Amino acid sequence: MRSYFLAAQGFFAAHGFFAAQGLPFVAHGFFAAQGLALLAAQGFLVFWSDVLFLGPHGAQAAKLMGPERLRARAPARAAKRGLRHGILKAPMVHKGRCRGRDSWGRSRTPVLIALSQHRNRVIRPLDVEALHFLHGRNEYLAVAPLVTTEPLDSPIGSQHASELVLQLNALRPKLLKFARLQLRNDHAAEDVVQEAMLSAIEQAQHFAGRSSVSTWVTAILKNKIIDHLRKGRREVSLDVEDGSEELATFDALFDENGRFREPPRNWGDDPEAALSQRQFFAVLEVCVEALSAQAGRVFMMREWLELSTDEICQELGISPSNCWVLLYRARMRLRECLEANWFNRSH
Amino acid sequence: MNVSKYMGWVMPSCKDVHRLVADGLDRDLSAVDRLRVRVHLAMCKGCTNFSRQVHLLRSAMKRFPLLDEE
Repeated sequence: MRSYFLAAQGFFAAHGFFAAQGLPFVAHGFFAAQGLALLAAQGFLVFWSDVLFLGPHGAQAAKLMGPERLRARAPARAAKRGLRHGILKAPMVHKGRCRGRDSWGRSRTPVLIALSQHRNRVIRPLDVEALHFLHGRNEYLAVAPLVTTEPLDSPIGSQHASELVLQLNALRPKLLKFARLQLRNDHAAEDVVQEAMLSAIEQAQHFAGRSSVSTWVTAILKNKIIDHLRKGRREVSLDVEDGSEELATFDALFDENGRFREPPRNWGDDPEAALSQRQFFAVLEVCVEALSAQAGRVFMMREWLELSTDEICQELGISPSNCWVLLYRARMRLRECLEANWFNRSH
Repeated sequence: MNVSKYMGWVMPSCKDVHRLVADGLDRDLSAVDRLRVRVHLAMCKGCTNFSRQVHLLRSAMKRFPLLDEE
């Protein structure tokens, strides 16, 4: 590993040298060669501004990652091995603890990715997408996106697993509410929430406090819902489909020339301000619940689960045009509902 | 020469455009449709408001608060 760093340093120096001589192409070549050399380092993924290398005890570090903060125990050795360009700084791990500081002294949130075949290396990516792009595999224990440099000991990080279970139980009613909104079927919602909670408890040790509990659990729930839909368990409550719902059209909004009878009004100077208010989302939720079962499900799949139209059609077994009509109706109804219940009330 | 048929094509009504705007969120519109929508929106305040409202609905759903942060 040291040789790789030396090589990189050499490339850097050469880059600087050639740049100073005014030979930009050669300098760029060295820069690229340096990048390639580092990238080629076995199992290493290198990002120019935020890399943290953990050493031979990285696997142990990965296990400790939940409640523990990673702290460097050999900063001196780390400083020697790290590059001093203000670009890379690589403290070493010792006994499974490491914390990095980048060259500007900002503390880093520790790494939460372990490559399975290189268990000794734990690397923090600049961002998750770049990591996947470069590595192209899913052999990770846990992934932490670079969102914050706040310390790792958030509440969940230092909790015992049993406390996590208590928290999950407290969140259960809300998870149920979301599942019901999405699936429109109480039994299916119960099943899905149950699966999500079990999965959350299993994965509790990998949850290293990178986000709040509810965000994490909801992400699990969303995935479970998607899986549930994919398995084609279509015990859908379509039998109560109200026929009149389908007949209601929005043609009445337009006159014979196709113009709006009542043109949509401006929702104020800054409608986005509504998004920062919690009551707005309460109103929105009620409006979504008020949609017909099928329209509501399709809308949630599109906008909340963020599936593509093809995926939705596949899961539900409807044609694309049917899907678009449902989404159109859902949007029109929601727009009306929001206008009536929020924006017309001068909030 | 039936001009009105072409007028309907070149100058879509609010009804056509609002449907296209809503559909534009779910599928790729053809270049022609996109052009018609854009031209119409430049002229029609009501449809512009509609478009903004529908996009606001989308960003609201994206930011739907997952669960009440206690």
